[in-house]
Amino acid sequence: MLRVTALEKRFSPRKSDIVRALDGVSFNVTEGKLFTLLGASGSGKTTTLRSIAGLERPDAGRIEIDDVAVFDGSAALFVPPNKRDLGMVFQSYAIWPHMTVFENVAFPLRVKHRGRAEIREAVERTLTLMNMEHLAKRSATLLSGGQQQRLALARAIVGNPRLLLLDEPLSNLDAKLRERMRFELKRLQVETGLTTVYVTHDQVEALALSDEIALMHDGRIVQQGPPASIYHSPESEYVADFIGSTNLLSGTLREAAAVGEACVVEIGGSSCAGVLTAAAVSGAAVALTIRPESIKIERATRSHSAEPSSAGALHGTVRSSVFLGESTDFLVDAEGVEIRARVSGMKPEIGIGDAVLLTLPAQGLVFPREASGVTPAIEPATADVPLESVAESVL
Amino acid sequence: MSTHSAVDQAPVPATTLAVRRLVGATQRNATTILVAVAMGALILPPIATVIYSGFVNGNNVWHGARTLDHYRNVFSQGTGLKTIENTFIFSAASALLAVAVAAIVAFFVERTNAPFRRLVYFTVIVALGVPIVVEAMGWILLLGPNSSLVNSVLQGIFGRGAPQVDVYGWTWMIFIQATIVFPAAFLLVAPAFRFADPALEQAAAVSGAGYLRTLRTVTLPLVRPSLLAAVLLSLIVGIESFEVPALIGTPAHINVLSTAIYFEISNAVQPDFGAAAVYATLLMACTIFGLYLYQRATARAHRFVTVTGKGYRPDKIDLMKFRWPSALATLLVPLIILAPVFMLLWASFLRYYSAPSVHQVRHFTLLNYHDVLHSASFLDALKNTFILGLGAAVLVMAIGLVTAWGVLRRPSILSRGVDQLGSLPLVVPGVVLSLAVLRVFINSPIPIYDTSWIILVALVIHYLPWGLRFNHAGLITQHRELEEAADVSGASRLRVFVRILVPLMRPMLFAGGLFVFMATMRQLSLVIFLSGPNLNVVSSWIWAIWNNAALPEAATAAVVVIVPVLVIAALFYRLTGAGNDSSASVGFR
Repeated sequence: MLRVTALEKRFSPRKSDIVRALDGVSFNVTEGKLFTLLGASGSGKTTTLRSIAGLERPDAGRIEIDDVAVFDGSAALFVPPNKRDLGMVFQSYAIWPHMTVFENVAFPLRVKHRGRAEIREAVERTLTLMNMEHLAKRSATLLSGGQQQRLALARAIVGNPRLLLLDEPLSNLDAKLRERMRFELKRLQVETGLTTVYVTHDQVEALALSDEIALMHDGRIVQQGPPASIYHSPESEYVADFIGSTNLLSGTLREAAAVGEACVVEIGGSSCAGVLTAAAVSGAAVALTIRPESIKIERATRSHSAEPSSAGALHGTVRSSVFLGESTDFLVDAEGVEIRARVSGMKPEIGIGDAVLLTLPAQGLVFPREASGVTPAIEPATADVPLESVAESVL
Repeated sequence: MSTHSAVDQAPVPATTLAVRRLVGATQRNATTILVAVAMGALILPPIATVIYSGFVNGNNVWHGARTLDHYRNVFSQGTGLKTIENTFIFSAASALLAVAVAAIVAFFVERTNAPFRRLVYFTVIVALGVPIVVEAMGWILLLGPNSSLVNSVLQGIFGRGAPQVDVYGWTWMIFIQATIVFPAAFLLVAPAFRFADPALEQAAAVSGAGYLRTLRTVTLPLVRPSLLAAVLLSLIVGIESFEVPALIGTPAHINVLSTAIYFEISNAVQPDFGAAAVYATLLMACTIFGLYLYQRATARAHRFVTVTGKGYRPDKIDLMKFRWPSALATLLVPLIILAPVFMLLWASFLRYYSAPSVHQVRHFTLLNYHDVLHSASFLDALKNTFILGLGAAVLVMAIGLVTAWGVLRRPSILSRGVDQLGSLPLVVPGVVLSLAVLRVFINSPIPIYDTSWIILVALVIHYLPWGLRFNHAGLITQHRELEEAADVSGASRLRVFVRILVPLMRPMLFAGGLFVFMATMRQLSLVIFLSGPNLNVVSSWIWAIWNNAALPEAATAAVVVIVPVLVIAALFYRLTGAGNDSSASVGFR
């Protein structure tokens, strides 16, 4: 449906300095699916979306919608945005304040010279779908944030576009509303069956909504796959760090193992089992990633402290705890290593300063680091190495 | 993760590619290219022609032999240098005086609880609309020889041998010019006083400094960059000004560059276009020099001034028992602005002019109004003024919108170039532009000479920089996603302009249009060579009739124009909220 190939875009904010906003971005979106471009600000996700919309002109690459090229750098082909037949929701919503709700929604149909009756019917149907048919006559400036968001969505889908583009549509809403709109968006996308490209920096949103996620960093896609695969099988330390609130524990690889095999990592004074994601020699600096919710935390008893730390078990002291309602987060100082652990359900009776015992799972992923031991920038080489044995197939 | 396109495209031939790139670039910048062509055709020929004609013999620019004689003549008898010297003395002295007074008034209005704050702002806006020629006439009635108000009062007090005031001389010429640039100077200086960071002053006060010491050591240095900018801008206005030197300076044989141009064309038996062009070129050079200084000063000012956009207000000094005495400062503004207007109002009610006194009131009559409002030529001039002002306002704002859009939304060398081109008329004083437009169209195949079209051309060129500025300021506050939403919806560029951009920009377009309209109503220098016995605007009509010594009619006509100006000024005042916190200074004059 949508095919983006080797997109490149450079900005030069100053003469001497060139920023590669897009550095070879390629992906496909299947008909009727919701595809998410996820990334921190400056990762190139919005530039990619704006390139698809035709609001930005890439330097090279190719974009096809329905097998028809709308941009091709090598053929100097560029279809302007008004000829691409798209719907788009902007981060600012871009509701036209000088028009009523009805007129805002009707605009895409008016410019396509649809008949008066057809316009009325389509606008009413769309407003009903968005549960805002009673607001049709209202001035667009008199809407609440949530209503503006739904209006922007109504305007984007009213013309039944080939492709729906959403640029951080929920980022301006308060937390409660955002959660509700998330469900509504998903329902709408399923009901209309519109192929959707969604841009967000919020990993929770991405995990909740997407059929597929592409995580972007520095103008590249560093990993692409279904939400569960991105969450559970990050291919690099960057992805592991970006998705979820992961512990990234620095350690040393004690026993080299084959890629995809269990290995042992030394962290602080103790050791822990993990799964090696890339070839590394014994003694190499590695990062062990462990999700806070998979760590078991319990108050240390006398019998615990008597025995030395066994594999996967760490002694520590609670530094702070945060009660989040459905769960509680503990920050534990385990022999100089800071580890976050999460307990769901009732708040356990563990207080600040308590001695605790952490039990780490054995399935933590182990990412070798550069020889320097510094957290590596995500090099394309690492990201692109085939890791069939580790990750469940990505594509 | 490989997503190579399944279908391999056939390679596109290089020529097709080049053509596509060219067509694409043209389409993308279509609006800017259109504006570039239109603007280039409008602005460049007059300016080039007027400079070139300083090097050509004879009256036809295109057929004369090239020569340096004009420059030799102008400089040989020392008249050229003397004129330049006069121009600088006149404009520098009036600029310093105007800004000094403006700073004092601005201090009282913005930093103390002196009364009449709103009145000051309102009269300042009104003053921006009163034709300068009218104000100068009023001052002559006030300070002129023989039966002027001041002299009659002096005689009444001291008897026959009383000291007399003579308006025709350096002193009053400078003073009157100062009153004319005062409103602009005030609007530039006042915000600096308003937004100076109070914390800095409080710090000085806490350190034990009194009001005066704080003023001298903290407040004044803070506003100094703004004062400098205002002085330089007033200097430029002075260099370009025509009305005051013509009405006040000429009888005293004080020539400046703008009046020198005028006399080479209008007062000579045979117009000397060559000498006029030399003076015009010199005048432009002086203006460019002034603008250069101004830009250097303001570029530096940004580093110094601690003006922030935040909503905080400096503490106002409570004058307590001096509050009402301070009204002397604030009421000075309405006084100097309204005094000449009052004189004209007085003159308009008298069949034969006589200085204001109680027993003259019984001679009051409305006959002058009857005559003026039944004068076909005046009504014609009035109609021209309105139509031309309206036309210029619409055209200037339209070109300005498209240009500003290009600069902000499609930034490129081309759109920046167009922006620069549109700002070029800033260095062309009204008298010069008038001469330039005349020079281009007098022997041009385009037959608009001696029609109102030629005045429209001059007005549009002259106010284009303001059109750009207003639109730039307005568009920069519009979120571009509002337009992009329409693009993605499938709207063409034209449709986006008409349905989205223009409605969104309406307040700014209206305010800018009103400003241009109001400014055109007071224009004399710009139409001085373009008007004629059968083609007048109000200011040129008044000018002509004043030169025929028909004082009562001239005064009456002046009053008739001031009335709509008052209405428009009130509207503009409300729209821009001048004097409110958000108001930026609106323009130069």
